Amino acid sequence: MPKLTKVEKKFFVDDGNNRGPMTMLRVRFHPRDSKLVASCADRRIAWFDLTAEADQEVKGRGKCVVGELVCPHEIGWVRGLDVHPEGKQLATGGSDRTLRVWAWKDGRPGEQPSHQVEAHGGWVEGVAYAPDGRLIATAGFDGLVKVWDSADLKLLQTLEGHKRYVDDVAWSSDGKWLISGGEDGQVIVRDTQSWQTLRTIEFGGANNQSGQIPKHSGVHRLAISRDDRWLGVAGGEQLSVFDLQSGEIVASERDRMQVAFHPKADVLAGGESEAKFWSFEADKLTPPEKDKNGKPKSPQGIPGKPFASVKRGEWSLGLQFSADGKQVALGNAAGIVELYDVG
Amino acid sequence: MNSGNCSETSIDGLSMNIHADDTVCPKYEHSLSRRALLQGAAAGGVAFGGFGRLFGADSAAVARQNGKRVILVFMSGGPSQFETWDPKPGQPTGGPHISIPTALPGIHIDEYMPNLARLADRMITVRSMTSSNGDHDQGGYVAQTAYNPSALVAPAPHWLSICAHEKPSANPGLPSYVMLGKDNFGSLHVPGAGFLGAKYQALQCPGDGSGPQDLPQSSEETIAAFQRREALRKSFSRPFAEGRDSRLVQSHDGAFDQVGRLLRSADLFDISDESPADFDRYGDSRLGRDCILARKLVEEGVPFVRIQHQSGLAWDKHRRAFQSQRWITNEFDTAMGALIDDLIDRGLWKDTLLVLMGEFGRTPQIQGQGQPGRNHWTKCWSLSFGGCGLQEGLVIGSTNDNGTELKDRPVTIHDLFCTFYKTLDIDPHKELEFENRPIPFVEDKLGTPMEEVF
Repeated sequence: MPKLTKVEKKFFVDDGNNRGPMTMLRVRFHPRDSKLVASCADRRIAWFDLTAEADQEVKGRGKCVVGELVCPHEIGWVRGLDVHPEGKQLATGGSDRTLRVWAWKDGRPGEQPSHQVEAHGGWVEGVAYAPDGRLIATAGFDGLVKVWDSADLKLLQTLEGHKRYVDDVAWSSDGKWLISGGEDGQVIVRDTQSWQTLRTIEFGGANNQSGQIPKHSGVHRLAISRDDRWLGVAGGEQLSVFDLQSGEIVASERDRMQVAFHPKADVLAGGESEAKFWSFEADKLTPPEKDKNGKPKSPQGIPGKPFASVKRGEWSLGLQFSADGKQVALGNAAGIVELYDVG
Repeated sequence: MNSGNCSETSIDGLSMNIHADDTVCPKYEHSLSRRALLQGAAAGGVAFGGFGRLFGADSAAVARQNGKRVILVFMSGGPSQFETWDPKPGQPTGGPHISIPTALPGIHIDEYMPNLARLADRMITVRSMTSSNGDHDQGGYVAQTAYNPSALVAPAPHWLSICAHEKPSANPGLPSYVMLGKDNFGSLHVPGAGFLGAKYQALQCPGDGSGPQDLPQSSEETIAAFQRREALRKSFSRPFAEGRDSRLVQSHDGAFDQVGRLLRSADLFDISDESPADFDRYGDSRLGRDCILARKLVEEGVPFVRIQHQSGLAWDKHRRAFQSQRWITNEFDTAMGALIDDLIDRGLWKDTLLVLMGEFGRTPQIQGQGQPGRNHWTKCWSLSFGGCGLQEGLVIGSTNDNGTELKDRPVTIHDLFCTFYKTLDIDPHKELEFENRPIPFVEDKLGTPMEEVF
């Protein structure tokens, strides 16, 4: 059974403008360097040196490693973020509609983007490098998914299909599938040779965002298991696992907003205010039985044992395992990222 | 509840005496009336709301026809000025939303308001509203009555109730003031007719483009049935009326007369025959359908309409603000764009005052009750209005770079109401008597009209 052990130092970032915390949105480990980047409530991203000493006292948060704000967009917030699989560059997508790539040199991104494009007719929310690093997929609030050459940001594909904003994109580990999830509650699986839709998965949870504190509409985050068998989808009220080959739902939990698979083991993590970790039994991930009328029963919970849970406060976003699977990073709303060793 | 004859009424939780009637009425004498009144209450959503307004239209026959109209779209919860009319992209306080250019050179508004950006040269945008009450209930009350609840000597009427009092519909068969939807928050947030009494209460519709509840479909059979019931009611009411204040009895009977007239024009509230293209243009939303109904109402001669944009303080974005903000702003912009277009195209714009506002604004700090979000902020906030022959394409006042301070031309709630009343040819500092006390329309006769808009 895996074990989660908290790394006793916090990573914090602030801009000194006393205008509220840098609420974390996404976190990404660098695959080679001991560095971590995070998109947060700012036009820049946070950059952290994971080897630095937590030697700065931060009011109300104790001793922290204080990060730097890098990769500036001029306006808006950085919403989508990904690091090249070999760590050569990172890509940021902003509410300013631009996609930018930043060369990675000497352990940090360059001061200026090496390329940038006006990517979408709305916020660029999801950014994901293909496994070979040659392509970048973006999800836009214009309802489109686009595919770019990561070397020069030449637009290669514009993919329609979602009815509303698209929030996330993910590639299968062999690069054959590109998956997108939108606030319309749909997940679209596409073949990356033909760029045709292979299947559309109805995740649900779409709503019109009425009222004071609506649940997130439809899909918020996507994750694919190490063997490309399972697709994790997190929305405003639900975290579900689908068989990627068939599109059938195989498990579901009442956790929300975040989902990530471990890169080396059958471990799944998810949840916003409380991040939960399951060691799942893959052979028991099966579609729900059907009732006497042939209608599928409610899906089971994630089979296997939850082995850890981390309470991190409301609207705590950002959840990723390191490439070697030995650590997991959890962002939170107070402008902090915490690390846990996965043993 | 005000039963029309009993002495006490309750407007937004404030009890007061309106009619001096010391007669205690046996319940059976009220049986028919009570049923009607309960129906009226159901239609109005507040005690005596629906039929109460019908009394008000009685005075239309003697009222001077003005021809000016108001559509108030109330954005309950306190819309963020940063995510509507006063964006600060690139500033630490700016948030993720970016801005887009408008029809006014150099003026940008939120990216999710493309229609209002297109129509900015027809509207007046105030970026320097300043107030002091950051409570939803009280702030909503102030922003719709020009009275702070703590300063009341009499329950203040909604400003559209005052308008209905001063400029009732010229057509006695029509209500003067109709409210489409209502926020379910608090007792003060959607003020009633206050000391003016039930006569000037809005005719309440439930929203989503629907007319008053319990109003039967208009038909010859319905009208005939109503007339039969009326004859019966009058025969029963005769002994009830004897010895009572004739004005009250007439007022009471007037409600039933109005119901009869409404029955003959029940299609006033029916938008089912409106063009499908219109439903597309206004957006698939309760607000869109209410705006179509509002358009129809003012076109038919109803002078004052209040539209509630969503219920439950939907603009109150303390937490998880910026993603859901896109949806509500987009919904709002779609409906407003279509409404303004139609008011212009149908020749209604020059006589219709369109007001788009909430009760206050939101903090520059992005630190809500749960991040990311913005808390309540009264120091400097924004709203927009236009039409009715006012200047077009004005942007009044400004805030500093971060939006933390007013930079120039502060506009108070009292200034705003003085402006609205002046637009409608109503003296903003006129007084009405309540319990032998003079009560001005605007608290303490504060404020001055914003002369630059005229």
